[in-house]
Amino acid sequence: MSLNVALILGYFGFLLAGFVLHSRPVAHPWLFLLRGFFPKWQFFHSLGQTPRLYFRQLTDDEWSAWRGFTPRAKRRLRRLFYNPQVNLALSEQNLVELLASDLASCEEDAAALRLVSYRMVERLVRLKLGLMSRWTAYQFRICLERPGAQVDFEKDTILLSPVLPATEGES
Amino acid sequence: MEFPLSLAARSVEALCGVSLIIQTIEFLALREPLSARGVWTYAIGQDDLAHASRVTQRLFAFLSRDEIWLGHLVMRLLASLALLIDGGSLPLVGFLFFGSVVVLIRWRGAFNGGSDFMTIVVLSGLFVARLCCAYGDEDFGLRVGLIYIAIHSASSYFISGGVKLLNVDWRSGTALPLFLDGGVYGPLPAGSLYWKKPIAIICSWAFILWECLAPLAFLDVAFAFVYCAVAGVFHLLVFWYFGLNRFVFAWLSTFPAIIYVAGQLN
Repeated sequence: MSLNVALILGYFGFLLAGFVLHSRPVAHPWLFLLRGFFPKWQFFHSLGQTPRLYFRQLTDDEWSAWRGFTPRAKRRLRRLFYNPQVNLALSEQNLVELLASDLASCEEDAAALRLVSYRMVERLVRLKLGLMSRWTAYQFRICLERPGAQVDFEKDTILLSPVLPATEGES
Repeated sequence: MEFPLSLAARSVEALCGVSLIIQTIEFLALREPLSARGVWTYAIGQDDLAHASRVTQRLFAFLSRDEIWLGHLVMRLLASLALLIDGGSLPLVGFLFFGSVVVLIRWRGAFNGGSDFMTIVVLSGLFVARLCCAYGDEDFGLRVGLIYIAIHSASSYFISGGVKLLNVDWRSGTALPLFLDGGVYGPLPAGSLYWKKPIAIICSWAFILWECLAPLAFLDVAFAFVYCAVAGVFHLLVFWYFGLNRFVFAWLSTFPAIIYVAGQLN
């Protein structure tokens, strides 16, 4: 076996060991912002629970039903070269997943409300509702959904926001 | 058979240029979410930089202003065009590298996950290569850059396949239809072939085996060509089923590096 082949096998063997041996995650704000330099390359790897955003609005003193946010689009070949809206929708879902991840490491409810991800999701919901007229308040929740299963708000909710006013900054 | 070093490096630059052009045109269309009216407004996002120095905070406050952001994206588009047409130089690649880091930080570390990361990998490789070219041995610099890109690209397939191989839901064919069902082009119709267990198992194992065989690409240039050709089809399928268009071009720009390294090893 040549040295090159041995080096290749050794390198991929090292990666293989990484699947079994888990190191302690390192957390730092700069590492979060610069995580592009430390890619994990684990795509669609496990069927864990998916954080999903639900929201409702208050109109004429009556709450609407909870509506879920799931990025959906129609398939088009031209989107191979220009796909901003689908990529934005996927990014919005990633934001919801980041909030769920932040909540897992948040020890008190009050701290959750100050999270960057929480405030961005709050704004996301406000913008999603923006097109609808006459609503005066809104509320959202984050649920952990199992793939293929119906959501159960009682069991699956990890965050229920306070009732939020229609105008930003009033709460 | 060998893939000449200069041709390999030039191919990576040109393909990376195409990838960056597509990304930048999309970012130009997505200025609203980063504006004062958007979800990723700097008024909220600045708290991510609360730990940073005052200089860094002021720099990002400046770069996040709508007109500065537009100017940056226009310059990025022109620089990407130059990379495609004329190839890289240290200032050009340096601008694209640091500009991409700024773009990622503005999107809280990632806009489109893996495609952002692979873009950074390619730009890091090209930047290191151009640094070496400017201050040392040109061939050595290009070689180091291409090896860095090739290792990351092959590792991405191998790791992705490896974690699927260790996951019972992937091995049993359960995961694939559920991912497709929850994907951006979902839900899967009730009559879809992917709900059928044998089809799901065959497709899942085809992906797992092909991804895990990534190291073979380095054993022979012919293997590398075939592996990259299949990888191109794989990324088109990922685009077709999951809407991830940027992944196609981000990974495509790494293929000349894989073929070059395979040629050097044999």
